[in-house]
Amino acid sequence: MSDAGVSAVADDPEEAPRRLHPATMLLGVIQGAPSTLLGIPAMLALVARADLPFILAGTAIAVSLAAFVRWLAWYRFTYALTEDAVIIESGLFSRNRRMIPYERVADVGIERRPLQRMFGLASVTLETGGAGADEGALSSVVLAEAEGLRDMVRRRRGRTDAASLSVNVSVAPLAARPSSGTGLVFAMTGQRVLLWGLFNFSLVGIAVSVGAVQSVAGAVDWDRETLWNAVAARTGVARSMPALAWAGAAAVGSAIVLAIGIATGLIRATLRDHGFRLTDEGGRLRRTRGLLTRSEAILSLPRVQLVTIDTGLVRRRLGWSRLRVQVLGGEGAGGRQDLAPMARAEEIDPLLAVLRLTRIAPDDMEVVARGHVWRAMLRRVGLPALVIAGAALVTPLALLASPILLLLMVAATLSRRHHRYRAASGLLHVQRGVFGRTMWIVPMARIQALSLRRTWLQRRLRLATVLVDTAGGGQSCRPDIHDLREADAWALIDKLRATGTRVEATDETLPD
Amino acid sequence: MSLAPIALTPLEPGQRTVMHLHALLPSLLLVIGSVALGLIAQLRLGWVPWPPVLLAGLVAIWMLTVAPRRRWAAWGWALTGDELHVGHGVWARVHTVVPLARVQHIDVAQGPVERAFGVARLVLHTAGTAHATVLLPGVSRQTAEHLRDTIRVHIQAEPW
Repeated sequence: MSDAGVSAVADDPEEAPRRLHPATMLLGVIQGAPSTLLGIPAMLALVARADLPFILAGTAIAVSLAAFVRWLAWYRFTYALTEDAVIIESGLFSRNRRMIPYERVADVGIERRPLQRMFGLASVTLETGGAGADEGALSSVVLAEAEGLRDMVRRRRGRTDAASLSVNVSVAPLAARPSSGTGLVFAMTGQRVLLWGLFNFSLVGIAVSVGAVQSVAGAVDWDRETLWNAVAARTGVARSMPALAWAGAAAVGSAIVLAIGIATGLIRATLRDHGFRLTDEGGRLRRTRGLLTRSEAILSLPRVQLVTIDTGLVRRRLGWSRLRVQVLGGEGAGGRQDLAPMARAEEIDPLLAVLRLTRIAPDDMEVVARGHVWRAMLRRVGLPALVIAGAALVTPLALLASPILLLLMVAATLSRRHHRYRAASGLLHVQRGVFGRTMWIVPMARIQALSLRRTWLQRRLRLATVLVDTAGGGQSCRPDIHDLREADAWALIDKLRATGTRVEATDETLPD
Repeated sequence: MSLAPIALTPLEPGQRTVMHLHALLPSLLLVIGSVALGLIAQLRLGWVPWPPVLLAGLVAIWMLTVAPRRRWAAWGWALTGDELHVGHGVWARVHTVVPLARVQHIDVAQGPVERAFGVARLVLHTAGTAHATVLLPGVSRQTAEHLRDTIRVHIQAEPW
């Protein structure tokens, strides 16, 4: 290696940087062949008028350049298993040196694709809890080495585990499983599933049927006029209809749309959530549901990152809400999982107790700064108002949309009232939403990173947003707290980080 | 960062040069694009070609001179006990706190330009989703490696 600073000198030959199997280069060429072959016609079109020697020389240069780049990439990719971490170096010009501590390697995967098997090779992936896809991918090494690598990583991981004296929480409840209550925590009757289906009103079915009609019409090659005439002839509707008939047709049409939407919701909810049962098996929850496909999922409680409780405008009035958990990925049960699609408050609280969480009343939570309303006004009302004003210049009809602004204004005014937060006794509670409303319950020990963000407008209003990053979630629907006063935001961050790191230490020593 | 609880260390001065150099290619592309647009407007529509070129030129000069300096000045970092603080952003100022115990793995990266000016990028990967990678550019190679080794000490096995 040319850079002395990059590659560390290891005393132990076992820890010296190693390269992938040279056949990796060849495998790369073969795997890349389909796209390369597709490029050939384009190349031919480009050089069609050139002379043969010129083409040959160009091809030779291109091939040797590609070969050199491949060789360099192979040469520059090294991996080493040092005392406490896997070190992977890569990059042609921009060099990257990655360190994955053994403690963070959740598992070592070995994969053998057909081509690799022909060469007796295997791909090794080091799986960590990180969000990225390929955190530590070694393709390809000799199979024997892949297996040796896995054994070594597991051995060293075991050693560091023992050294760091951390109790593996997920093991303790499993051992105590038979004694702790194996009981039903939540179930949905058929009646409730149907009710849940009503709230699952979905326009997907309508979109599908409209799409089907359009594709049929397209296939038969009707233009709209002919189609309309045909419909008019069949149904006996006159070609030129009076206003009353139009209104009637519109009413019938929306009734059909409504019916399809409701039916879709009912069918989807029944197919998915029929016979919903959630049982506590001590340390983990088992969920079975489904009408045709019975699906069973097991949620290990230590993997739960946060809980959300959300309701809609109507569901809240009727006292229903949904409980979901955000789970760290793995074994197909990652992401957001329903624990109770439709539950009463008195059913939610025992469920939270199983998760060892509690919720607090919104009245006990703190409200965000007053400036939140101003910012919501500017963003939610100001921008649509500009759009409508712009459209009104083109056609005055656009002004008909202005009542929407009133609704948005109401929402913006109420947004502050319902955007609340509280950080106390190891839990962060966040509530957001005017019409639909969501409450997040995040154990502080589960917070991955905290950010304080102040945009240009927020700096003028002396506001700050606290971004709370957790594992296993999506990009949307995060427990962020928007528009706190700056001092409050820093105080909240201080509180979250102080408790976050310390609670975890006690968590690990608790045997449960 | 008036109310920030801790003072952040600015980046290496070399990083400012790196940022200026990295702005070279985008601004050059912008100028070339605007010249092409101006030529097309002149040949096809008979318009005067210089207004887009002038506008793009001004933007390019701003991209080359003012913007990198402001971005550089907005960056900062601090290592306090068991957390890494990183601040950045001109338009939206962001101050990120990463508990070191949360770090999954660590990258130290260096591009050719960065190597020439003796700076490196430190990238912390956490298990989070929205800000899963926390980037700290423009620290010297030694600092980056020292930070990495310090952070390494805090990484311990997870309970999951």
